[in-house]
Amino acid sequence: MPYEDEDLLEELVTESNEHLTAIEPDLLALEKEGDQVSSDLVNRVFRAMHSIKGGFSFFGLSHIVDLSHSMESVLMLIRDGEISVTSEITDALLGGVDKLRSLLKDVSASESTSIQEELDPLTAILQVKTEGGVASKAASGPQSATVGGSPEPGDSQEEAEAVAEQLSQSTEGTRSPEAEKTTIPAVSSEKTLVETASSSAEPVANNTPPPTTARRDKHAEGSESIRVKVGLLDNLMNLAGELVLGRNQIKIAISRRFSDAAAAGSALKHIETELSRAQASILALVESRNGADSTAGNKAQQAGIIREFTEIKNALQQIMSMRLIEIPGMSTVMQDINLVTSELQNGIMNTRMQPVGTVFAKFPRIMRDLSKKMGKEIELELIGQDVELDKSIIEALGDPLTHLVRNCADHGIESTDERDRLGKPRQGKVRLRAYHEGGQVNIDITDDGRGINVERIKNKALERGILTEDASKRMTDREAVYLIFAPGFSMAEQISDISGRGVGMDVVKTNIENLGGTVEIESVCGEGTRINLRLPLTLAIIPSLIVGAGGRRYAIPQVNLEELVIVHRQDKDKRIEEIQGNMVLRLRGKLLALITLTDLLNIQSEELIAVPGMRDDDPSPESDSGATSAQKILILKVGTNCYGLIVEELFDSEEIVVKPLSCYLKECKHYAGSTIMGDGRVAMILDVAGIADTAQLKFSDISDEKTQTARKQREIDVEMQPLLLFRNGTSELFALSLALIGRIEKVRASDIEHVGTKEYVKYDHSSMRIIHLHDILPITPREEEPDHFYIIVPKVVKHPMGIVATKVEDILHTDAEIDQINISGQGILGSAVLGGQLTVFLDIYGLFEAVAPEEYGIDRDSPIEALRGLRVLIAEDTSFFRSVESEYLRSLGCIVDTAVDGMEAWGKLSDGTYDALVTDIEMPKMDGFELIERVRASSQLKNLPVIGVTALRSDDVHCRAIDAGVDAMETKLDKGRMLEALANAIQKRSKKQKWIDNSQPSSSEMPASA
Amino acid sequence: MDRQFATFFLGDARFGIDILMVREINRHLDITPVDRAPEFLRGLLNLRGQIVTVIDLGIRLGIGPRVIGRASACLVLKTSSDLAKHQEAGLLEDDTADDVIGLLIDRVGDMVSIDEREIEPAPANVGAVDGKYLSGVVKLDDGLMAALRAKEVLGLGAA
Repeated sequence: MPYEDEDLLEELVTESNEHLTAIEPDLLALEKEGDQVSSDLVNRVFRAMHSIKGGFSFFGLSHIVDLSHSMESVLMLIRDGEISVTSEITDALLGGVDKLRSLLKDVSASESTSIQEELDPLTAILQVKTEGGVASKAASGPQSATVGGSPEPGDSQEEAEAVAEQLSQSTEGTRSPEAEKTTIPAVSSEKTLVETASSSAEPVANNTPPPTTARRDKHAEGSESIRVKVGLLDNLMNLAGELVLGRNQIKIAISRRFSDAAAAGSALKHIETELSRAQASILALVESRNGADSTAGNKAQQAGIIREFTEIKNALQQIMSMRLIEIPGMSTVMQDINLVTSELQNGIMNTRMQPVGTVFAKFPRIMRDLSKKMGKEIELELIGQDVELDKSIIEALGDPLTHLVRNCADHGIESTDERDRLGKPRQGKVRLRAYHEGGQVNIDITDDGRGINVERIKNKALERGILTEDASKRMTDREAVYLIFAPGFSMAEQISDISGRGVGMDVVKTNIENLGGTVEIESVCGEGTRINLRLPLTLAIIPSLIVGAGGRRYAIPQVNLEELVIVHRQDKDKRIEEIQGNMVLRLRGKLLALITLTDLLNIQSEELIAVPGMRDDDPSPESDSGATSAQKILILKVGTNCYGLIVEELFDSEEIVVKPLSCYLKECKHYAGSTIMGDGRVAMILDVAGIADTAQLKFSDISDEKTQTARKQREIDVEMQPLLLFRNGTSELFALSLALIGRIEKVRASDIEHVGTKEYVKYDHSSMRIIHLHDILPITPREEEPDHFYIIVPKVVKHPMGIVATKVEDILHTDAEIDQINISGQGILGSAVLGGQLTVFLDIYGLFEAVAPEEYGIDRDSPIEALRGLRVLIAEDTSFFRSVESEYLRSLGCIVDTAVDGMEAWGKLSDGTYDALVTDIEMPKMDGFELIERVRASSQLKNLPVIGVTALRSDDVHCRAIDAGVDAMETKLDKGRMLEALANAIQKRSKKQKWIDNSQPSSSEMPASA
Repeated sequence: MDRQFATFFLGDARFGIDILMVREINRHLDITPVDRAPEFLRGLLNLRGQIVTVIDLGIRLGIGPRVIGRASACLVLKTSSDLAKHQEAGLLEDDTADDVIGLLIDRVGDMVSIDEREIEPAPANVGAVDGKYLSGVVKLDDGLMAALRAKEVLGLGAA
């Protein structure tokens, strides 16, 4: 039969591929179940095979039909319990799945591809079963077995399914009864099926064309979805991107117009006052001259002047009343457009999102085959299959992930014997885990194998000439692990066909980096390896910081940006120095290589072009000369290394639409792409790794021993706390922890809207309430109201309120001790003398609670309420955090005790009774990990609820702490989450305690009920 | 068969390019220079949301960089995939690039219709311009027109 309809065939192929993907894990599950297969599972696989067979028999593609038919027959035997699933059977079925997949790749060539190799094992299985004359029974089995044999009384579920099966079987049956009968005995003799099938199917096919059946299936599963060509989505995505750009341009145009109008307004006002003054003086002049000579003509003339003045004034007033400043309704319209555009963009982006499970799905199979081949026992655990990523990323992720998983199985996991010898569980474990973090998707590949042997890595690198003797000595273990990413490096001691061909890890790294992601690796020799991939959600739109150099603007992806450092002229000599002819920055005890963007790009000064104003909502752009003398340095991250990039200007962050690089610029590794800015101009996107390469930066070169030791010491000794210092119109100085601040906005006083006694500003498409410190705290009110305010927007609070400041003083790193006695009250943490001035430390939570207790106070029903009256120990070496955390807990009525390091905490825990422990991780003498481990190892304390807190979120620390036995990890300063986590931990622990107590006597009943 | 050429000037020299390859001619020349790029790459231009790579045709043809003046324009070429149908129909031999490329020119000239037989093969060089960049030369009433060979000018064929 010729291909009647290419479209139908295409659809059938897509559908069949989906079936194949779906049944692979089911087959693996079947293998696990062995004797006791669940009928659900078999039926699902069976139906999938059945629809593949049915569909293709219509097109007369005999090889596909033969193969799927044999597989179907084997599955039927399994379903009827006639054979149990062995690993050979699974192999045969999986082999069939693979073959079908390759046949489907090029359907037209399928007839000329041999399927014998895959058919033989299947036939063998069938023959064993049908030996002894029942061959014909099994052959005609499909119908009779399902119709008559299988339904078991009492199992209505299965019965229903059997009936369903029957129905679909009979549609099929009427179509090609001949085929069903003849195929199985003839399975090994090729071609028979199609001839019979096509001859017998033809007349019936007109009545019930199989694609309709297939369609019906599909409708039943997901009537809510349709297939859309990816090209169309790409196009929509592109258009949405353009719309975003358009919106940005309109925004700029409007705000420019607003500021023009505002300027015109004030000019008019000025004219009006001048006019009034002129009118008054003319009137006075006229009055004074009236007595002297007042002819009728003069009088008329005077009256005329007065009238003219009045007219001008009226006209002016009329113009002014037209409210040039606002185009009526414009801001609402703009807000709507804003919202709709963003939602549209998100919506379209979501159409391209696919669960990462689609990539994960192939690993159980790969792992099964690998472990069989290598004679290892490996368990694969998949977590987070629902996490979604852009289609293009999902597609590009397959190869690198496969490589990493294979590596785990091949190099990571030891042989079963070796594991036995080492006292490890016989079964090795590989875990793939996807999760969201900080707007990115993380994928962890963890194994509990032998880990990476650093010495061997170094030796191998020396052998291959990747590393010099000298560099090898200086290299830390952590750095050495990264050598496996060097091109041409192979980890395997022996090259196997699974991995170790020396192409691999470097390619993996490049692939991931091309996706805008990063690869991190961490390994403990003898215990295992963890590889962390960090990926953007989508490739098309990335949040970026816009910077300026040489009068041009560049975008730097936010992902690569660690922090911003401003070095003032007076500090320049202290912080920037020259080592071996290279500029370096001293940052918290580390030395970072510095690159000047203008030098890197060879920007010549005569090319300088003025940058069009970017801060349009800011009517008075900062043009202080002080700013130019300060160095603006971006600290950028490449893998585990950082370097500083000196730029001339810093602009806003923007979500930019990435446009691919022109073909002429492929050689320019320092560019990652280009984009169109809000004003319509093109800007280049900088490639952080490319810049390091172009500048020929060698990270290992820059480190003198003195700083290294100094660094180690410092890191343990003090955690410097970055603070924002600001004023509220008086000489009083206030401090807020920078970690709590999301943003600082500059607003005009006239933009503040009053509703009752409350004040609001527009922020992020909606209104945000703002508060004045002097309304809440016992401090001096402002003497005069300036034209502009700064609004400090906190970030860890739900529905934050903005705190009004008149001047932002500085950002300061300090480890100052906070005095909680001298100055205190709700909303105040305490005070300290910073740089010679008394500074009041604010407590955002306390402030908000004071303003709106109903919203920010703790709900009486909240689980946090359970913390009241509990004894909590806080282990924390930094005074600042110790004060903050104590304050948080005290505000809830906890009885708080503190310890300055792990050692002291351990002592206190051993002596006293506490209901919970909140501990810092990095502490001197005994760190948090050790403290937690000790607690868990202690028979008395092992059920103590423990919360770990860190200043900066890091996966690494997070995982280690969880492993050590912490109940939850939270960020310092985030009051709500910290308390919630603590309450949860206490609840969980107390339940567990009870459960263990209750369940012990009756534990023998557990398996029966399960 | 007649072919249509869009003509333009670099200085006094007149060039032409088959109209089938021209997407549009644009006077909006807000070009963002790209540092460390090849010299002939003048920069990037935003054409209604699409990024156009602008080539300084003067540098490419060896007659010196163009200075942007009042009459300067950007001649935006169609992409290679846009041209596929013309090539298949045998209307066009020349080719462009996969990216949208613009040529920076000094002044736009007339559109001319030329009988294919009037196109003479290009000599080794026309003025300072290497003949390899040209597909032919045509004598018009008011002087010569050198027809560009875009494939060569864009220099992507060899790469």
